[in-house]
Amino acid sequence: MMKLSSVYRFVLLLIIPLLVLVSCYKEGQLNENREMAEIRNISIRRLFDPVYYSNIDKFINDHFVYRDVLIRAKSFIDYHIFNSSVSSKVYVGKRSWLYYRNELRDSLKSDCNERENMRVLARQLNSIERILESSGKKFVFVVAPNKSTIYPEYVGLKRPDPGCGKNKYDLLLEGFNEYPVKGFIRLDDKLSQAKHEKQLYYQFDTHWNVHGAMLASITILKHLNPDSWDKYFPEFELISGQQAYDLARMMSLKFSSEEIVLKNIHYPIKYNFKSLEPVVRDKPGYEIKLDNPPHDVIRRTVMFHDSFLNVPLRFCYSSFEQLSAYWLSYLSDPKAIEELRKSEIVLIEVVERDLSDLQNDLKDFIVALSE
Amino acid sequence: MVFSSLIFLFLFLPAVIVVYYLTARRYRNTVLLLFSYLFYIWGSGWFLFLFIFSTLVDYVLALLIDYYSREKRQWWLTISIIFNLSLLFYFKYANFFISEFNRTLSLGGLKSIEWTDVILPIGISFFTFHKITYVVDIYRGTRKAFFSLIDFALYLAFFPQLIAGPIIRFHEISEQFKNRRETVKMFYQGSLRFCWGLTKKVLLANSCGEIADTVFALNVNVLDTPVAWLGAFAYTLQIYFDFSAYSDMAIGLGNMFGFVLPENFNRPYSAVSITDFWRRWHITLSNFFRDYLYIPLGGSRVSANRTYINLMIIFVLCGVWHGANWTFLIWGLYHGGLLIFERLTRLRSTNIDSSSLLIVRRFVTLLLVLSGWVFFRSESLVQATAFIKTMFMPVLMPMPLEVSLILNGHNIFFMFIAALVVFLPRDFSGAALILREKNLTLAFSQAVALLIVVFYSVASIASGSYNPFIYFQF
Repeated sequence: MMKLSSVYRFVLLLIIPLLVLVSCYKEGQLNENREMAEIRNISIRRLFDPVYYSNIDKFINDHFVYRDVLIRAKSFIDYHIFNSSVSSKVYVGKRSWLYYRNELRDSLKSDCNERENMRVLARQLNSIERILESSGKKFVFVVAPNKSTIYPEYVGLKRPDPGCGKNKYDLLLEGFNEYPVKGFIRLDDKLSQAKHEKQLYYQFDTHWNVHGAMLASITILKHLNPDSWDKYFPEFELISGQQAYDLARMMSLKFSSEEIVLKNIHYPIKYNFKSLEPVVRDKPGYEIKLDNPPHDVIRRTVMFHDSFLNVPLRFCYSSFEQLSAYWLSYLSDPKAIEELRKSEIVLIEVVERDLSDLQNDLKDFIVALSE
Repeated sequence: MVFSSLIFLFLFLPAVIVVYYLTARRYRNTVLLLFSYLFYIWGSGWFLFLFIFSTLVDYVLALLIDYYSREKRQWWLTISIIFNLSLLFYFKYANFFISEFNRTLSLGGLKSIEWTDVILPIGISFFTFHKITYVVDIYRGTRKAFFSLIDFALYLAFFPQLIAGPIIRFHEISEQFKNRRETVKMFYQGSLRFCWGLTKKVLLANSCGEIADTVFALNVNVLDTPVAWLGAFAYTLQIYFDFSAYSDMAIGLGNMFGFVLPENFNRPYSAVSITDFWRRWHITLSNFFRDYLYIPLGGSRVSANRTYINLMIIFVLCGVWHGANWTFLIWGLYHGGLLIFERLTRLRSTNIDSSSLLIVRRFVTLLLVLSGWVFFRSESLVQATAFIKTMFMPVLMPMPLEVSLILNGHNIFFMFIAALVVFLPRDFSGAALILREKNLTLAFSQAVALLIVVFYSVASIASGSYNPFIYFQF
C-alpha cells in the first residue's frame, strides 16, 4: 500500500508542472536582464531539425512554471550553506561579501599582458585632452575603483606569486608617466584612506554606497571648482532604508540589511531637469540647467559616465551652470558630440573593470572629436 | 534530450508513463517505440530515418538467418555485421581518418583531400552493438528472431538505453518484450533508482565535472602538480558518477515499464586489480566484448601468447569504440597492457587475505585507473602527456584564478561526498541500500531525505539556464 501511494505521489510530482502550465499559471519573474527564449513556429522541416528541439529545450528551461521558486531556493541554499553563488557572475568572498566576477582578475594584480593596451589607453586620453585644450575646453577623466580594489580583504583569493603585481589600473597609471593627463582625478587613494572611518561600498552590490558616492562627488567638485565647491553643495538627510543590490539580484536573493540612503536633498539653486535624446531602454541622458547661474559655478559641462556616477551626480545638480549627462555607450553619438562642442568641460568616467572596453570605445570618439 | 533535463522530467516522462499505462497491453510496445523515436528525433533529427532504415535491414537479415541452414546463415550474418560496422565506421571514424590522412599528405607537401565532416548520429555506438548481439544470438540459435517488427524496433530504440546503454545482449531481454509484467513494486523500485541516479548525476558528477573541465581547459604552462592531480581525480569521480548515474536512471526507467535491465557498475574504484576493475566497470560492455569477440577469437583457451593478442585486440577496439582520437587508442592499449602484465605476474586474483595488502592493491589500482583517465579525457596526446608529466614530475606554481573560483563551497562539498566512494567497502552498494526493505521509520526518513536531495537536484537543473546580467541602478 505504501509503495502504491509512493508511486502515485511520484507520478503526481512529475505531472503537476504540466497541469499548472496548462492552467495558464503566471510564474514569478526573475530579472536576468536578457531576452528569454521564444519558441519558433512548427514546420515539417523543423520537425527534423535538432536545433529546433534545442530551442524548445531553452524555451522550457526559461519558462518552466516553478523556475523562479527553484532558482531562489537553490540560491538560498548555496549562499547560506555552501557560501557559493547560483550565478557564475557573482563571487562570494569572505564574510559573505559579494563581488562581480569580472573584476576579480584586477584584484589579483597579474595583468601584465594588458600593459600595451593600457599604454594605448593613456595615449588616447592624452590625445583627447590635447584636442579639447586646443579648442579651449577642459578634460577630466575619472576611474571609479572596483569594489575589490578598495576592499581586497574580503575577496579571499590568493594573489599569484610571482605575478607582475600590477593590474590594468596600475598599468594605466604607468602609462600616464609617458602620456600624462592633467585632468585625471584619482579616487582610489581617497577611498582607501576614508574606508577606515566608514564603509564606502555596499556588501551586496558592485557600487559604492552613499558615503562613497559623496566622497567621489566632493573630490570631483573640488577638482573642478576648488574655491567654491562647497557653496553649492546641497543639504540632505541620511536615513536608514532598504536598498536594491545588483549582485544580490543576480543571485535572486533578498537581503534585509538596513542601508543609509539619501533623502530630502535641498539644492541651494533652482535647476531645470530635461531628458535628452538618445533614450534607449533604461539608459536615458539628461540635462540640468540652473535658472540664474552665479559666476562661480562650474561652466557648461558634458559628462559620459556609467552607473557609478548616478548617485554622486545627485550632489552636483546645483554646482554646474549646465550639465549634460550621457551614458558612456554614447561617447560617439552625434547629439552628444554636438553638445560637447558647446560645452567647456568634458568629463569621462569609467569603472576600473571596464578600462579595456573604454580603449575600444575611444577610437571612434577621437575620430569624432577630430572632425 | 537528456534524463536530467526539465523537458524530460516534467514533459516526456510523465507523458510516456500516462499513455503507456492507459494503453491496452498489446499496444504498449508500440507506445514505447513511438516515444523512443520521439526521444531520438529530439537530438538527431533526420538521422531517425537512418536508424529506421538500419532497423529494417537487420530485421530482414535476422529473419533470413533464422530461416536458412547453417552455411547460408553465415552469409546473412556476415552481411549484417559488415553493414552495421560499416555504418559505425563511416559516421564515427571517417572524419578522424581523413583528417589524419590529410595531415600526412600535407607533411609530404601534397594536396589534402576535400572532405565535409560527417555528423555523428547519437547512440550509434550502442545500437550498433545491440544489433550485433541480436544477429549473433539468432545465428547461434540462442534465440529466435523477432517476427514482430515493433518488438525488434523497440529492442533497438528503447529510450532508457538508447543513448548511453547499458548494452543489453539480446538473449538477456528478448523474453521481456512479450512476457514482462509491470508491478507496483517494480515501478516503486524503478522510481527510487531513477531518483538516486538523478541526484548522483546532478549533484556529484556535475560538481566534479566543473572542477575537471576547468583544470583540463588550462594551458599546460600554468598547470602545476597539485592542480593536475586535482583535475585527474575530479575527472575520475566525474566519469564514474556520470556514467553510473545514467545507468541507474536507465535501469530505473526500465523498471517503470516492467523491464529488468542488467547492472552496469559494481564499485569499480574498489577494484584490487585492473582485471577486477573490468569486472566492475561498464560491465555490459565487457560482457559484449567477451561474448561476441573474445570468446570467438579463442578467449583464454588458446596459447598464452594468443590470449595476450586477443586481450590486446579487445582493448584496442574498446578504446577506439569510445571515440575517434589517438588518446582513446592509447587508453585502450594501456589497459590491455596492464591486463597482460597482471596475467604474466599472476596479480589478477581478488583473493587477498591481508587487509593492508588489500588497501595497497586498491590504492595502486585506483592510481593506475586514474592515470588512464587522463588520456581518456585529454583532447590530444600532447595534452595528455604534458598532464601526466606534470602529475609525476613535481612542479609548483600559483593556483590559476579559474581553479580558485571553481573550488567554491558547493563543489568542494559534493566532490568530498563523491570521493567517499573510493573508501567504502567493496561490496557496498548505494542503490541496494536505497532499495532494501526497511521499517516504516527508516523508510519515511529515507523518503524525506531523497525528496530533499531530489528537490535540490531539480533546482540545480532549473538553475542551469539561469543567466543574469548585471544592470545599472538609477
